[in-house]
Amino acid sequence: MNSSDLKIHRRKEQNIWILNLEGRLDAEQVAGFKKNFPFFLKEEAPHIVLDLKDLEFVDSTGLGSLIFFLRRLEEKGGSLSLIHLNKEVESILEITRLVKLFKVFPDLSRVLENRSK
Amino acid sequence: VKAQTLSFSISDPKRIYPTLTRLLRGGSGRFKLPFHLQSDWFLCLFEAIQNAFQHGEARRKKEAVRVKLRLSPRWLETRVYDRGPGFDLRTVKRKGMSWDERGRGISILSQLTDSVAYRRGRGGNCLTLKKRILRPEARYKITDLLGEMSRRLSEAPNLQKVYETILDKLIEIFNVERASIMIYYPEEATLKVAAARGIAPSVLKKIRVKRGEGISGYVFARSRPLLIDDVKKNLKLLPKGPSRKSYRSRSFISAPLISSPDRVGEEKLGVINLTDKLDGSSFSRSELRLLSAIAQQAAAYVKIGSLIERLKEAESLRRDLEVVREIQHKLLPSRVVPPPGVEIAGDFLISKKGGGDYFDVLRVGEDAYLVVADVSGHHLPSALSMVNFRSAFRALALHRPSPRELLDSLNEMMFEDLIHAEHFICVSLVRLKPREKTLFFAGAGSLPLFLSGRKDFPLRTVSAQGTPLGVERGIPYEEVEIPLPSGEGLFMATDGAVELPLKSGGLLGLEGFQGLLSRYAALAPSLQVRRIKAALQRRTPGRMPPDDVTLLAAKMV
Repeated sequence: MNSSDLKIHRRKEQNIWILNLEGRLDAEQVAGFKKNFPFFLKEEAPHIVLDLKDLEFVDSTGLGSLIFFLRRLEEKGGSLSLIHLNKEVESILEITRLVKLFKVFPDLSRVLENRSK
Repeated sequence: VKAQTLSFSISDPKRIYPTLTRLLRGGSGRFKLPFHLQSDWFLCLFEAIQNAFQHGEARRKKEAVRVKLRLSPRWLETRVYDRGPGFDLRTVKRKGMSWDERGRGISILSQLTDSVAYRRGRGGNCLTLKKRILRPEARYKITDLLGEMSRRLSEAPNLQKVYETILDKLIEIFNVERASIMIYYPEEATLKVAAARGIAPSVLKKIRVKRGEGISGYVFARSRPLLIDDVKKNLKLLPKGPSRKSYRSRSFISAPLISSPDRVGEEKLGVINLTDKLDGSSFSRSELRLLSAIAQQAAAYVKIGSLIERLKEAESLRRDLEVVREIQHKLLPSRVVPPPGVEIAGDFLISKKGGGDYFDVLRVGEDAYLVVADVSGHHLPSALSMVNFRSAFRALALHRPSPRELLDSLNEMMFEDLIHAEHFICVSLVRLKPREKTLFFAGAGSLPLFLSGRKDFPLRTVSAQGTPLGVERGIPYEEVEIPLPSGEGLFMATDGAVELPLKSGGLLGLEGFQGLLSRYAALAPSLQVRRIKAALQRRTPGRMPPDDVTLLAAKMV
């Protein structure tokens, strides 16, 4: 395994799954990411937060997998939020205008704040 | 300025990321992408090569995808070749940016480049990406740039991060390999490097520039930005030594950091220097203007950062002092239990810096040891040496019948630690024998022992001085035996008392302190200590002495 290969660390807090993505999410790594989807999609209304602070690189295929995940979660009445976007990831979301599609927050506390509203 | 070129091929899609990282991100190779394009072009190349593997037949036939990069001062061009059936670029472009899961690669390329062209041919297909290289002043809107700088700088957690943030942004804007921020230290009349890029850390530490010397000193002294087209024509402005030869470029720009707060007037803080542009070209007048505008913005944040650092330092000193005070208070005898026939009282005034003053009264059978000690220095280290002294004193006092022997043992026991800590301890030590109406006194670099009689008795002093603990080893201390009849008293103090600065100017001095002692000599020890402490506080500015003052009084009933 290469040091920049995707690693996923998950934890649950206040009924929300927080996935920390470390490494890169690109055409070569996306299959590993998608393997995790069934685990979350079997829940009722799964709410997921992707912590991207350790994500080094994302390409168009990686973005595609995020859209796919978002669509499936919304079908189940769940949600997908992104936190800790670095400059590169923020830039590609803006270029592709996907920043409008995802709920983007600076950190987890803001996600929880938003949910409590 | 010559164009740079780079050609490489990739035969396995798994190798795209590591190959691009090696060639474009490390900055070690000969192909130097402009900093502001590095992450965008990395993504473009990744998408383009991935696309070639998907639409070409390279993956199936295990053929390599060939890539060529060319960077001229005005254009960055990339060609990616594949040998597959290819695709229709117009159809893909028309589809545009969708929220579908696929088909976003070409759209990303269109967004990040100035032109995308795809040529299909029998011999293979070629995707060509072009990006115009703009000069910084054309690339950035100054208001947007300064706004972004402000946002980033306001997030910097400390002054060093402020410097680093400024440098990172300057490198990205101007595409230079060398940049430095030099800060002026008025007490040394010298500029020193606070942060730099492209200069070896070992060299950085040695750089000291006097006002008016070299490029930085010249810009600082004149408070005006400077552009040097050709450094060879301005050799006298270059630093002397080996670093003079190490500049690749002939062109420099330098701007002063001047903070202009509303009420204080201008304050010159330092200088920003840039040199060695990636493409080897010279700086322009408009680039100098841009640097000056950024330097003005940066100066405000450097000033705020340095004020915050000073506040933090003061806060840390305050906390330090709180700990020292707590230690000193905890180590004070909670209740002085004098032997029968004696009254004893002690107190101290802690200084602004806090330190290592200490007093104690320890009963040993019918006798008592009275000690006043002063560890050199201030703050926590002195307080810790004082804690050590207290432990040693309390442990040894029970087994050493005379102050002389006790000082000998304390010096022997603590000598190595004190040398290591670079401390010494001045000690005044009395063994009071109420039954025999006598006392034994030994001193180690301390004030003399003050003896007072009844109202008509003159105050007198007794010295038995050796060197402070931790100064000389193996030299025996001396002691004196003094009768102390009923009604007579003794007074011990640390030298903070005589070194007390007066509101009227000068120091209280030994004579002044003795005058105070004489005035209150007839009082009981507790009242005597309280009155003397109050008198010292009244006399010193701010009611807090620069050095701790410890007072200990005893009287035979």
